Amino acid sequence: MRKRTALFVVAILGVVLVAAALRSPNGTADACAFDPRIPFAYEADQSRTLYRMAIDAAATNSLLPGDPFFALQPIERGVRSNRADAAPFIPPVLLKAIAWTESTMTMASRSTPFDSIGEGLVTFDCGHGIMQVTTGMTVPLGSSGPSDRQVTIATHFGYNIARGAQILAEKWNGAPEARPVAGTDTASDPAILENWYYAVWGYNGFTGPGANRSNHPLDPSFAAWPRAAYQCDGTQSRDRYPYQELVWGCMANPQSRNGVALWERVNATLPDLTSPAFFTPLSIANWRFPYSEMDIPTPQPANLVIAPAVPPDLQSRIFGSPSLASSTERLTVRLDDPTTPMRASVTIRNQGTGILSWVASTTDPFLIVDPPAGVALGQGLPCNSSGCPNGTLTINVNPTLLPASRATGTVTVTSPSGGGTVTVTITVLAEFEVGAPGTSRAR
Amino acid sequence: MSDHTRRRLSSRSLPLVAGAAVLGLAISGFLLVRALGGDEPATVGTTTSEPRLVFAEFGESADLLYLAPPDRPQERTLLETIEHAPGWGINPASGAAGPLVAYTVLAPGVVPERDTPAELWVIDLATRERTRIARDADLLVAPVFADNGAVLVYRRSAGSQQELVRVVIEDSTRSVVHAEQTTFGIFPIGYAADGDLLFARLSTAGTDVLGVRDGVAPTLRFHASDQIARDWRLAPDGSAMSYLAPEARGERIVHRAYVIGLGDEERVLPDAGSPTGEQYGPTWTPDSRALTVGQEAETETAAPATVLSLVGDDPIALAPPEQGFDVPALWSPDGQYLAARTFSGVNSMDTGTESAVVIGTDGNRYPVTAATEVILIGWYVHA
Repeated sequence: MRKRTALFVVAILGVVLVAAALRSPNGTADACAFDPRIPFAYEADQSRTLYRMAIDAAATNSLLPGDPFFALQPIERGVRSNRADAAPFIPPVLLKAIAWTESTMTMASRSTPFDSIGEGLVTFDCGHGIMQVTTGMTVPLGSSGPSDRQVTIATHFGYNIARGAQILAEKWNGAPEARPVAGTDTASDPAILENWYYAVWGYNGFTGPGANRSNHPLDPSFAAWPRAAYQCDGTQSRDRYPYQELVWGCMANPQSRNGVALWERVNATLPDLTSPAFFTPLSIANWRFPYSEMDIPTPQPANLVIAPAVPPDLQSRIFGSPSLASSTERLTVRLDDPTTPMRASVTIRNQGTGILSWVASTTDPFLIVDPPAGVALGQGLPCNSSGCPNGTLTINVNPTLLPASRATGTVTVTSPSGGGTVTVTITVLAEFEVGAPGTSRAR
Repeated sequence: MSDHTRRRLSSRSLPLVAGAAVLGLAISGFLLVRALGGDEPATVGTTTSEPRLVFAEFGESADLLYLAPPDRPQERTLLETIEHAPGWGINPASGAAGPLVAYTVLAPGVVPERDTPAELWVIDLATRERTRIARDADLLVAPVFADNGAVLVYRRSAGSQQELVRVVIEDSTRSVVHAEQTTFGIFPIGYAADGDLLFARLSTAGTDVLGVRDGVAPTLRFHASDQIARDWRLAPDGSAMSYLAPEARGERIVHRAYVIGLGDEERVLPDAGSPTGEQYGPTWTPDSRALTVGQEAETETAAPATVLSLVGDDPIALAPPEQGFDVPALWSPDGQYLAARTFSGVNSMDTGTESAVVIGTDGNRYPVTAATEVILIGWYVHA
């Protein structure tokens, strides 16, 4: 009987282990970088003035040109047999239309007013901010926390836009090794808007017709054929359109705020699906990696985009020279005083200029920081929410994890965008008068 | 008769037309008045009366579901407000099944992306009862009714695995009718008269239509196209299937309508309109004897949708738009009204603006006006 029981237990363990292995082949699983909490971000003005300028700068590698990670890479040009690096350039209107399609060009959640600091825009699939950056925005479960890059992408619109531009550039540069070339008759010039057709498709997923994330223009999943052009004004369901047609539709129908058009109107041309020059490459028979039979000429009439002028002080306005400071470096939380809260707040200040991104961490399990990351603004950036222009870090205490009735822990606040580190020491007092055993683990 | 109405009725079709007209007169006083006024409607197969158009107006965060008399769409009655993820409206089954309509939708609060698992809902228009059938549907693949509305078939995906799931609506019991690994897609079409669930499969070889039954490997029914075919529709009696497929005509690639008989009977769609023009929205008449197709405007300013008989009758051109072309969507069960999308442009690459319209066989057109996109769902007939 005992042997049978042992065999049963071994069998159950085996099933559990196999199930665990199937669920997580590498023994790890990924979560969004800040799960389960949401980082805070700065939502700039409603006219998106700063965002639009940042996009113009990112599109020409004028935003973070010297940054080893965030600088815009060279953009390849040329046909399949002769493609080489050229100057980094993305038509800015394309990035603006993508930003609108992804997030209505907002960095923070809908509950965060413009000109204020609030919860960042983070979706369940780990899309962060204006460009809804998902690539690189996960961490293995149980890891020590987000990286500096993840913090800046999640909290600072400048880095978010720079990363979004990079991702689009990666899609473009995926040709010809892993993606088709658009613009076989124009040397695939990246200054021609129509040549970005495949790269924009790839920004949302370069998947085949019939897949549940398909963006193939001939996919029968798009219920209505033919379909009118997307108007980008909230009157049409997105169900009916491949991603690149959403972006094309937005480019042709710029949104306005406060009387300001958020981008210039461009009637970009889509591939003519009745023309063999486009239909044949897009034939389902050609959907084979590396998609070398899918190269297309430039849809006509084409639009040549000129690089915009970027204000010379833009970098200093957005990034500036932030300098981190906190309202205190030592505080006490009294759990044994019912009149005081079980938490403490620390004001994060930017004594410099620009937007300072910060991230808080602790190795003490009884301390919980919220939000896990945020921003503090330097002078000159409009901010109207409570606490502005500073960030507010709340340190909560979990009394069940206190190692003793009097415990000391530390929270480290660092600024990955430059500006230093602050260590806050928290003393927790939980010296209860206990009337019955077991009511406090602290004593 | 309206100036826009074109009718080409052969002597062979007159008995059918007369019979249908008499039935229509008996059913509808409104139509009687029109008939007495010399506005005799050209009808297609009839089965019932008093249809109401079921449609939705898209909203950024909620769609509004309406019921309206076909000749007075503006006198609409709001049935339901269907909330959804911002920007992503409902994707309905084509046509109602009795009082039931079904749709996939991204629930509010989920990731607003096309591959987020969607909810599948059924609404009983008679009771306004809403029932969630599933939470793992593919948003972009419309569900299909079967067994007179007793069953729904929908598609769900997990990675490259796609499954066609059959759900009995009454008790929500479900079974996977077919599953396969694919880079592309499979699409439920409906149940043929012989009991097979028909589905379309995309591959690098084009589009195949297969039949499958529970527990049995699918069998190829026919190869539809070397390209991506679309808009598959079963005839109401399950005897045939229609679809659109692209083909080279002239120097262009145009979508053309096709009909395939699913039984012993051969079904041939007559060529109509421009031989090099695009065709749109092949839609069966209620009696399964004809297919209605739209066509591009080409050099003319307007192109009518045309009823193409599969039994030898002459084509019937419906009332065309003042400008542009129509895309048929759904015939009313009595064969008096065609719900359609209408475009002010010329063809699929120059569509102009889009709106919805009910085209009466009496020669009139009844616009379904709305500030936003109109999603045509089906027809409902009060018991």
